[in-house]
Amino acid sequence: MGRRAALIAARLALIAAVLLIWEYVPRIPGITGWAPIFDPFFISSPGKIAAKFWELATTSGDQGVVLKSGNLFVQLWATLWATLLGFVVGVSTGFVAGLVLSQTRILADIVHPYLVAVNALPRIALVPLIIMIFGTGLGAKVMLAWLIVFFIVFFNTYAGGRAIEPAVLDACRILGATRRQLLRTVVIPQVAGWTFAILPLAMSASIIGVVVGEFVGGAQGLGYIITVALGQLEATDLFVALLTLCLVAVALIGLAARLERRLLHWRPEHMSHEGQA
Amino acid sequence: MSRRGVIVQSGRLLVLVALLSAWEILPRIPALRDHTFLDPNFVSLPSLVAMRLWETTFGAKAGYLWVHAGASLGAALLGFVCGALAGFSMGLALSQSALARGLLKPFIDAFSAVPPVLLVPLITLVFGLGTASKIATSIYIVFFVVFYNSYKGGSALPESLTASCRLLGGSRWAIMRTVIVPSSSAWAFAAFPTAIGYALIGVVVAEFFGSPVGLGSIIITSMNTGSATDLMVSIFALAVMGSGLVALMRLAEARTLHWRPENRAA
Repeated sequence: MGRRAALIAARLALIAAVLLIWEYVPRIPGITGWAPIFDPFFISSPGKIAAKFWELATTSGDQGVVLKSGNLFVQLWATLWATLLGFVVGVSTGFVAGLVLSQTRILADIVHPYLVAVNALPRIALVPLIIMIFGTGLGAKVMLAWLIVFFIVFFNTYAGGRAIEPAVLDACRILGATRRQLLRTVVIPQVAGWTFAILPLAMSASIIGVVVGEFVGGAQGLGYIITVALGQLEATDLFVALLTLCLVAVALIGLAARLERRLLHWRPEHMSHEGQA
Repeated sequence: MSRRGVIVQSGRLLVLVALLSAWEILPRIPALRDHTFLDPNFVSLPSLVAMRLWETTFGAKAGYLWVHAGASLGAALLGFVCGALAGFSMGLALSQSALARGLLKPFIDAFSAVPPVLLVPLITLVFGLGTASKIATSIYIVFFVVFYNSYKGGSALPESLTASCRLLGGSRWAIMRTVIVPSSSAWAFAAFPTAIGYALIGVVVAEFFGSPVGLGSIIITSMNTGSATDLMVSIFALAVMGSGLVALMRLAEARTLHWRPENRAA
């Protein structure tokens, strides 16, 4: 136990050291001359960032150049809403497409080379194309998220549909299962397992699609605020918006991981988890 | 060829022809052009894209595409080498030292939880609009991918293996050199195709933020000037380059790790 406490103390000391260096090293006179990375103009300082957070949380005026209180929440909401919509639409369409294609062999064989080609395409690079065609509204952002989420979910669902043990299907057929019963009791539960397993990654993809869209052609959202702060070289605002974005991203991905565990609690690898808890 | 084979092959050809002709013909229909997004100004035409591709690679403006593709490629590769070295040594160190693991692993886990692309603006703020930002982005992305695989490779060794080596008189250094590093590097190698693909995407996103040269920069310029053909050409070039790099990395992996069971079979 003493060892564990020492380890935690060492971790805290590490965090403190980084914060202290970040706060105080830039104040050493002349340091920015030979180490421009320590210029507070670029890296702000923990004190200023904390003060800005406090100001946003407690006042309602518009003190900031980029970030005003209230505004942060409006932008956060814009990003969050597009991300969630894109996630839901992407997961459901990806699931249906993967299920259908995995059950229709001839169709799957025909489109296979195109799927490989689309999969190799760097989809983040398509973001500017979508923005040029569909603009920067909510619909366009959802579409960006969908574009990335759909393929991730689709490929996993498709692989799940192809991975069903033929012996299991044969056995059910011998026992007299109709095609419909087979689909409902064997195929869909198996395939859904593969879809659920990819949910955290799909959430991360949805965030990336929406935020890169906001970076590139935003009119709203945290990604847009971040690019504005970058353009005006407001390091403190950038850090505040970025920290908010990172916290939200981590929370959303964590939520998706929980959802996965919930939905897959009957699987062996998750059952042991439940047992321990 | 079997009957089924014929159906599949002709089906594939049919899909390709249908897609390309739909893309070529539909935007020329006035009703669609005026009322939907199927406007050559937005989606370009396959013939225009093919012509522009030729023009910017070997034709009238030869070299234009090479310069930008080369800039992105160079930054991705340099970042890849640095990031892979850093990720590998960190992964190896943390898998071997309980102290380093206890101290640093929670922080690495915390940073890896954030999708790296979100941090590109911060990297741009600190490193500027030039090549340094692109390389830093690439390093950051590659580091995590390689780190986790090397770490796993370094910790996944069966205890019995290292124990027998010790029994046969292997010093710590000898075991490190002949057992742990080869195992860990095999795992690291397995991450390289993914890592290089991500690195290239990272570089392109970094170039979105106002870099003067690179594929990402011409993608953004074409978006802002509304040049669909240029946009398609640069996306196509990026896709080809990305697939090529990943395929090369897979080949290198199979060559270097020919002693591994999964490669021996082939």
